[in-house]
Amino acid sequence: MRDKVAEFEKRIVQLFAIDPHESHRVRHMLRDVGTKPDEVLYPVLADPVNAVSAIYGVAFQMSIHTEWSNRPATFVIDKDGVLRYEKRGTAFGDRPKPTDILAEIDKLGKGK
Amino acid sequence: MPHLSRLLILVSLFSGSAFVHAADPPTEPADIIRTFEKAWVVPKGYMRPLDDSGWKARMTAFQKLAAMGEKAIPALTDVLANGEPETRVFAAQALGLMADPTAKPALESALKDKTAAVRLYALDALSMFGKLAPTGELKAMKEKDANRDVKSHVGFAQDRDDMPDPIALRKTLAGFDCAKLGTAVLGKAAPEFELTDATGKTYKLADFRGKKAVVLVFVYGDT
Repeated sequence: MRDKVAEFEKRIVQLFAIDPHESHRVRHMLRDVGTKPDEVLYPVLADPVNAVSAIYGVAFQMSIHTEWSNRPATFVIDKDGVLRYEKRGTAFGDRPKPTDILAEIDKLGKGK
Repeated sequence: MPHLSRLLILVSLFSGSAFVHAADPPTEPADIIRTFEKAWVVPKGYMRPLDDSGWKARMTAFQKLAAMGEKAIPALTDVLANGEPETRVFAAQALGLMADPTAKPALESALKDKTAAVRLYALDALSMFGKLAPTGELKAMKEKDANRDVKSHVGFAQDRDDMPDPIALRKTLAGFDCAKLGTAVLGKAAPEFELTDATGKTYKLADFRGKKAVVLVFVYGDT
């Protein structure tokens, strides 16, 4: 993902990760991987009550690390705010590759 | 007479509906928990099916209990101690989201629950009152608990680097609009959101309108 971030930036796309925990857990996770919170390549947003996960229909759907967590999922929203791509994973690690997401963004066309 | 009979029918209709209302008891916290229990089926594997609706029942129950506030706590602490495993897990998670200090003794007892997820969510819930001070019990859990995730959560609860804001958390949950559950639909306007990153900076989807496409990647703390 890291080496692909420049490709996302080139396409004027905002990337967000959404984690279904409080923000101290997000910072703990970043510490564990040796990244300072202000040095992340893209913002990791804390969704402590799973509200956004629930609105996007992914909350409490995967049992992992002894928690009921969100299903792995990726969404692409165009410049007009329209949902243009979704991938709702059916297994741990069932995610589109960064190149797949970039291809979806390229499909949005100019001005999107 | 036709007029009278019509009138009688009308009266019986109205009194009928009034009767139904009068007999309809106000929803009690225990009813909300029972509704959740019926709808929440544990899948065979670790993933819930794509068409599962149990997750909606879980979120709806959390929201309703949070909206009830402290009135819901005794029912939750009761099932935390005496419920079936999945109900105890639900109660421990709910009590973390509601973070009411009267639930502390029940959550402390739940640290000994035989179901790992109950112990794990009880640790999270107790850390909502401030980071946990080192005790012999926690030290033993961190070193010897049979579940490695429980061990990690002792660390999360002891290392938290912020002042928890349980009132804000409960308010967010109580104010959640369950009509918005699962409303992200391809080709339609993506549901709005406002969330904060690890540095405290807030982002709204609407801020990118007309400026940038947005990619959302839902992760689970270890990605």
